[in-house]
Amino acid sequence: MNALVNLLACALAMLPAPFLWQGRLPLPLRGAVLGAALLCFEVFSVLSFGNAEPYALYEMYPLEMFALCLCVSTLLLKRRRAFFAALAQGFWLWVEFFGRLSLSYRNVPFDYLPLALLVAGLAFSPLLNVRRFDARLYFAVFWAGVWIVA
Amino acid sequence: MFRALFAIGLLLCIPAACVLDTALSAGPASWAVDQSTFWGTPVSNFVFWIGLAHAGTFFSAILCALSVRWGRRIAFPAEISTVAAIPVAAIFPLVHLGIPLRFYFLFPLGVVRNLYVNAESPLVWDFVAIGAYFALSVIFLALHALSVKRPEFGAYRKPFAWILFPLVLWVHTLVSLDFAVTCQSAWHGAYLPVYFIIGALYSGVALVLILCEVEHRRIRHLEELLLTGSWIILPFWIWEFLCKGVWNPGVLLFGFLFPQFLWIKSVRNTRLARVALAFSAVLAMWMERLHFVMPRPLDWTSVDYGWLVLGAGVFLSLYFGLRLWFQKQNVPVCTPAFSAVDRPAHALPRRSVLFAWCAGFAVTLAWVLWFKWRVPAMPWVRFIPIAFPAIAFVAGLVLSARAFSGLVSRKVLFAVCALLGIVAGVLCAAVYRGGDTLYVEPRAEIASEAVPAEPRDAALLWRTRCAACHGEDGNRNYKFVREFFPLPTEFSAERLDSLGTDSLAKVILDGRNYMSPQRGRISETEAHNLAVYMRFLAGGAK
Repeated sequence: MNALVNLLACALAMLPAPFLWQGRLPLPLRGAVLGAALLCFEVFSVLSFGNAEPYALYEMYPLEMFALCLCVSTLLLKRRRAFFAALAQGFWLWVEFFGRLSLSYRNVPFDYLPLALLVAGLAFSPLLNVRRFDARLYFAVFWAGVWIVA
Repeated sequence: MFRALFAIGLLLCIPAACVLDTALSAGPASWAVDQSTFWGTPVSNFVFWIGLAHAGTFFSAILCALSVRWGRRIAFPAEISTVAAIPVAAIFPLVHLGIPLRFYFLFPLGVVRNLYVNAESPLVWDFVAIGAYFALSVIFLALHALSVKRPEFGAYRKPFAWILFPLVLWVHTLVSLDFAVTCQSAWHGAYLPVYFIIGALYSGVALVLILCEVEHRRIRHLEELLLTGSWIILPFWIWEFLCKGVWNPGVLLFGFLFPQFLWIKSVRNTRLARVALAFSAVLAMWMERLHFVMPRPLDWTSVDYGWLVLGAGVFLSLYFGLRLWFQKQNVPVCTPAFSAVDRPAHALPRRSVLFAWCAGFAVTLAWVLWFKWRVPAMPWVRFIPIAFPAIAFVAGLVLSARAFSGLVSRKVLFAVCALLGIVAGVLCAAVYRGGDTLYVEPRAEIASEAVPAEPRDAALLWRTRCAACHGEDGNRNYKFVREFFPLPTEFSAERLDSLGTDSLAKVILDGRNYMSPQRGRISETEAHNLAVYMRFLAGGAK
């Protein structure tokens, strides 16, 4: 996997985050926005990896991007930020754990580090309730770090 | 209306019983089986029905846990649908086992009677998770029904919802792993857990919408959720196409395009149209499961069509049977809101909830340590999928014991718990001891009929007798071996050389470890020829 592509993916995943929960859209339109974001990540993954990489390396890549996007989007929420950040990280943890578990049956090594980091992030989620901008910034950097490790 | 639907369900159960009888007596030969995957329509129907069963918990548990109030308006029909759909789903894997009476080998007991119940297999995970899910769903429904007349039961709903919330997602994740961890490249996908959950929730929403329309209730949130679901699941279908080239226009038409008619106000305001569009989503999800399990079209038998009748019949009779029973008990199944449930008389103390979770954790930890002691080769990480349903199950039981203790005196409760414990202990002991696992057919008779005087061709014998486990080329049939045995032994020329031809022939005839004896089925000369053929394969294959 190319480091530049990984970096680009991280930036692309964060790009729609500020607009995900903006405005008072009806629920189906919100669903369409989420679906469109996931679709963009899928197209990016296929164009970036295609047939050059083994399928196992990128089959959950769009979902990882989507999870990062959801995590970052919670930083801009005005209410119940910590709760939704915990849910988003729970989603990411879910994707990572079960994805890696299924890959481990295909002899892909099971890497614990991203999972441990995400569990740590979950544990520290209540810090997001603090009304300081710093906490949000730290979390954004932390998630970018998790992305690099994952 | 309910009585008519209940009667239709019972009527459908008559042909369904015939289908079940045919399937059980003839075995997997009676339905269409994909020869590359070994799986057929029972598995696709299982995945479909277990997906539908998620609706109840979605609406009552998840929305209750997240304090979404409108979910309570339809919680009862949704919970009943879960309790009715899980038994339907459970029929299919039991039939698919081939010998349903040996279902107890799915209990994660470790090494029992020289057999290893492979707790690394998602089939065992499924059994545990779905069993726990069904038991807790029944208790959840009972607590809900009781809370209508006795508000103190309402206090247990939220702690219970927080047990069921992750459990419902866990169950369908494990169902997805049935596919994701196999050797079939068509099923490879680390994204399958999320894909399956989204699919299950989508079909569940559609089912509850239909059930609410039967109750003459229109819930606009359900229509919105159906539309939202169609947009969320679309990228997964596109991803399947981009990665694997899997494309099913029927699924796209019924599952995505038709539900978009709900954007049109006049369509949305027509009851029949709402039901038809929800039904089209259910149909799409059924087609999608079918296509996923069996990528190649097969010639269906009457049993394959019969599964549809069986599913519909059992579900309708169970759902409307329960619905009528609740009506008879004066439980308001569909009311605008349950004030008693919304505002429980008192909140459950946190330490009670914590105690329940700790009890679940302690019991599961004890089981994991015991299992690891018996089977040291089992990786720690593969305990996690089975561990959480066990924790949730015990925590749910502890909470429900506390809840029901208010109904009876402590002495009666203690007596009931002791009795249940004794029954469970006796059952476990019976399973652990087991019955006679040998076939009762007389061996000598088989020997005289099966073994011809002239030795048969070794390659032919290998393909008919050995290839199912060892593979045609000697490299093992990975799918079969991985599902049934823990650590397949290395099949190499060095290993065969170390054993010697006579020893190998003896192993073939008398069996060893997981290798079953073939004496009586093949002659000694044939066993010797097979040992030589194995050497040839090992030399060529490795």
